[in-house]
Amino acid sequence: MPLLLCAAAAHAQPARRPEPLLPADRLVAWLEDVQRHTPGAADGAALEVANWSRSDLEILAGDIRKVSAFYYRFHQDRGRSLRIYDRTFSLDELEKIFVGNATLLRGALLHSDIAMYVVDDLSVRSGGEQDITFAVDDGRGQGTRRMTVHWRIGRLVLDAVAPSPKDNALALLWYRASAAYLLRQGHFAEVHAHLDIARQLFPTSADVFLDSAYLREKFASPEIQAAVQDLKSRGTTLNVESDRTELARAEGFFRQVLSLDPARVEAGVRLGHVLGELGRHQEAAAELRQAIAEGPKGALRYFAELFLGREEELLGDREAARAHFQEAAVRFPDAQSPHLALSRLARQSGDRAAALRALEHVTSLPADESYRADPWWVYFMYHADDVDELIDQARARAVESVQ
Amino acid sequence: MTRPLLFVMALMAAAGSLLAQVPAFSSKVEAVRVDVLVTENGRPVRGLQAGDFDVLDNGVPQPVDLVSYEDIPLNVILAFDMSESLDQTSLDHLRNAGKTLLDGLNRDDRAALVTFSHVVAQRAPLTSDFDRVRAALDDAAPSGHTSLVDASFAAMMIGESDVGRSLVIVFSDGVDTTSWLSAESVLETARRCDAVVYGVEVGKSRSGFSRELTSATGGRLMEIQSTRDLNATFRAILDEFRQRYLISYSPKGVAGAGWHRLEVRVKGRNAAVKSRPGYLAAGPG
Repeated sequence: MPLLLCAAAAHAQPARRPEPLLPADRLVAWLEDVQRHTPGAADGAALEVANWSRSDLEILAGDIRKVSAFYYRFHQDRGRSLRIYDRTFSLDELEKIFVGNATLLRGALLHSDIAMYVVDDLSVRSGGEQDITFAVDDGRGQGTRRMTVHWRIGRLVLDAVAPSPKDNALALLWYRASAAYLLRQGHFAEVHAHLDIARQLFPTSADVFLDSAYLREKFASPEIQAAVQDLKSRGTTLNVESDRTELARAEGFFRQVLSLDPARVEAGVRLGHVLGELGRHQEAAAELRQAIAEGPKGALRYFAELFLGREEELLGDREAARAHFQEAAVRFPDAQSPHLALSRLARQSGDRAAALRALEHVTSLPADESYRADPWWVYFMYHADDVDELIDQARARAVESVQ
Repeated sequence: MTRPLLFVMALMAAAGSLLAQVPAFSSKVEAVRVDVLVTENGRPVRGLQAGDFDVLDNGVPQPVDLVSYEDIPLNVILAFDMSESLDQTSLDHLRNAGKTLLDGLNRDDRAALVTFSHVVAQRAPLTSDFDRVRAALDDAAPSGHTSLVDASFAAMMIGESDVGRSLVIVFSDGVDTTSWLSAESVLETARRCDAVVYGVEVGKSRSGFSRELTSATGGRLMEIQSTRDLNATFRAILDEFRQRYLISYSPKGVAGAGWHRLEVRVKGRNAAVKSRPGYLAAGPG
């Protein structure tokens, strides 16, 4: 069943405002809404802002930048005032509703909460062609959706962080939490742009590069590539390149992760997979051996054994391949993939009896998926298990920072 | 596994038993069996004998030992796509078509049911208890993604698990998205396999894998737009398969291991012959 752009959370229809706000009033209203918004809730403040138009929100983002720049520069100079449109704000007036970067983080959270929890905000209802995204499932196009502008507005709000959002810990936390959420939800259209910006802002964040690498590896997956071909046959070109191009991009990002943080075993395992898919089997095997030597646990170890089994077979060492497939099978006995691999390997060697024995492991498994567990089925699904934790952390930090 | 992903538009196979007990594809290739369909003007040609066939193995003429036709019991392995994309109407058509095919089997035939989504499941092992297979068909419900390649391999291997002549029917409405096994590796296995694979693909999604798999095993790919006439499609496959000859020969004058190109012709007739294009004999190890 296709899901749309929202998380399973509050479904609220935004209320309509009777009168459009003047720009200065909108700025004040936004600052007040940011103050009264409870991070993580589809509350009245979120519903109000959800009903503002795309162009109004873009103008607002520019105004927020002016406020932030002014506050950063002059917040100790009590004699200063800021004129925006027809309104003049003294520092005393401004500080009641704006406390620098902490307000900006809360503002970004307001917009990400709208994107997560408010169904059909005004930007979705009134979006243009540039906001069309394509839903895909099991390698096929499943119709179109419109993107909300609120993720982008959240980013614009954080652009106002002074002196710069670059390497700002709160901004990084919002970017990481948002990227993790978008990746988990499969909102690849949005996260694509999100991560492009995040890499520029946080060039030393291994997390940002790991997410970027994951996205590119996902784009190279059979499911996405099949969907690209399906939509292409219907006259639509997606912003996804060929599998080899996407794999090459993924390789670059995984290498960046490992250069920033050599202890990221997941990056090593995934890099091994990518290199194998690129046909560079010696390199892939070396990467995977090194990753296994690091002692990964659980599904990560399973992947490493499965991938290395394939590479060893392609390199001509069937015994090593068999050993790695068996190791994967031991770790996840109910998984079909290692047993299929062992069966095919035996059949390829002319050992039909061994092939049938290996296959029996698969055919004797219950048909009901709820009694089966094969991590391979979810390899291309988002890897992070701390998404909710990250989001909660960002919200908590936002609340703390203004107290 | 069901969440759609969003992208920015970039405007932006008696005789059969005897034959099957001979290891066909070890490093010592003792016997090769080839399933052959002979047609003339689109109609199957019956009554041919061993002497009617020319068989060339890597271009070297081979004496045909045996030709069997029609009376060999079949192992029919149904590999049905039960991914989430299969709608209720198509599911009903698929169940009915499967049961119609089972109705067409003889008492000595056997059938098995494999379903696949991302999960490859043997719902019924090879059995002559066709009611069991019918019940399994009714139990299967669509969900999840598509492991066409993994399921095709499993179905071929189930075909090899029993002495007999195996027909694998792979039905799918989509392309592979979640298999572990690579298409290339399974095609290589198919070239060593005795089973004949017929594919039925419905809808607009086309899998190059199914075309290559059916070609490699001497089967056929049926591309259909809807499942409305699936009963007729499955009946046609079974009828066609029963019209096929099973040829056996012991290779002489050719090297053992590696790829063997096969050519099968009917002497003195302008007949179309459909068989696998060759076979892969395993080397040592």
